[in-house]
Amino acid sequence: MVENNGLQLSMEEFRFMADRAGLGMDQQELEHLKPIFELYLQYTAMVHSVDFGSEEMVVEFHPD
Amino acid sequence: MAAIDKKLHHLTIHEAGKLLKAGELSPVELTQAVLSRIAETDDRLHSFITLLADEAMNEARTAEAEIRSGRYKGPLHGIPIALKDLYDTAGVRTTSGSRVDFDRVPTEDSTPTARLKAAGAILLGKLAMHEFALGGPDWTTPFEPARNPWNLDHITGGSSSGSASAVASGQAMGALGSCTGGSIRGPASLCGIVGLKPTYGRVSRSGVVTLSWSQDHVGPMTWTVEDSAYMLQAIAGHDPKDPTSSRAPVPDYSLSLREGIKGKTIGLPRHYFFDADASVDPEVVAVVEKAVTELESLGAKIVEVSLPSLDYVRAANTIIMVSEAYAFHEPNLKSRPQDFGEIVRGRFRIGGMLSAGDYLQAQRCRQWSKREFADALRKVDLFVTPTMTQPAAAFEGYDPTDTIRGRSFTAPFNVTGLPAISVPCGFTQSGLPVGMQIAGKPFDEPAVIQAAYTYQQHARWYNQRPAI
Repeated sequence: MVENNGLQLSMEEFRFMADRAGLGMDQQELEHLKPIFELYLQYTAMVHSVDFGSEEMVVEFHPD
Repeated sequence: MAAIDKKLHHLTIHEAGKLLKAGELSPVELTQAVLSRIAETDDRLHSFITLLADEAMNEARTAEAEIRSGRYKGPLHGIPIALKDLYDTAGVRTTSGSRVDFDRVPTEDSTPTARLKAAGAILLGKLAMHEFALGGPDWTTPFEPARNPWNLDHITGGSSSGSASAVASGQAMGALGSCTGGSIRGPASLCGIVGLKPTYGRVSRSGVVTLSWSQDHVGPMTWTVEDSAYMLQAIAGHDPKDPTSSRAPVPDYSLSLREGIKGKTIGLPRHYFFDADASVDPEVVAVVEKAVTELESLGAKIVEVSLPSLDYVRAANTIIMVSEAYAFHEPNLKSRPQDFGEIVRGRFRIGGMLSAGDYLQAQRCRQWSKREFADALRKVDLFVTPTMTQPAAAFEGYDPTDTIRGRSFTAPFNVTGLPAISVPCGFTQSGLPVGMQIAGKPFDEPAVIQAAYTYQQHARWYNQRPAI
């Protein structure tokens, strides 16, 4: 969902994401939050950049 | 700073407990002394959200009668303590530092609350915290931020802000904090006290308001290592009300309160915790390097370890935290967003905008880190690191977004769930405390406690109190 080309989003992209999440933010709130969200994009980019190689790295589920 | 005196409010739990058990000190006298300390300092420190003075005095009278009649319950009996204001307390407002829960009065105690009461502890009140245990200090929430007793112009760190200021200043002999990315060890380090984050699942989270189910930990904050051991003893153990609570047996932590680190191998992940980085204050690192040298002189073997996943752990911790927080708070975020403070409202909303792929990739990084730390812990007994990257910042000019930039020295042990303690290890040139973090194997709190106790008894930083 988050594209990290330069870790920046246009305001339109950001508004679309906020609307899709049903957050109902006004323009002022969007403008305040966008630069903070872009800090988080650095983190999402990092976790998507990891190459786990052949090691199976699963999110576990135990039926017991 | 002042040399320690033996005013009652500056006794440790260990010291006061011995006097209480012997009948040489009354819980009533002790509680009154601590309440007087709160009255004399809290207009400057703002540690407390809710003070329970009358209730505490009633509990003290009960404890006094029990001890006099030979029904002594143990080292917490008659000891005045306080709780971060996200621990449910039956009949007592529990705000989580937020307007959202401003009037919330739980009907039941959290499990840690109930266990401390069963151990005979006296509840002084509910402590300031960063809203819902994230971000801050935030001036848009209804409560004044707690201040650092070592310098009132500086922050305490968070999110267990009031817990740290209260214990450091002698307003409470012990407190509980909670920790998702460093909220026990961080403020403990910045306020010159001990903070112990046990292994994930060691202490029940039932009745403790959630930030991140899979990363939240409950733990004590005290003046000394032995006091944290006593508090952990009281709250540890399986709880059927918390599905993540462990069934691992609870050892007697008092057996770890003996000096001895000879022959232990301590791993230093230098590449992340000690090497130069823009987000790390070299003065903090230098103070901790000196403490490491002292551990070596006490007989520990120091080896360097490499943990490449550390570069990704901060990211995983942050993504998992805000994603889970959003899931927990979504109804209120959508129906009454105006009741959240500015910082938390923004961070939680970001959690709603991250993708399932982001969350799952963060969880996979977490698995990687867990395996890597487990491999390293087959070669070393403990890790030692600085607790924080910086000393306590000044309120003036402080930017809360700084807490989401740069390295985190505490988050790796939330992500991996390993037990970790912060113990005071010195001061900066400007007189602000510095903490050393010691972490160990899953459920090996005894080794962590023993190493911290050994260092504490050697360095004796506990002899210095803030001059407030």
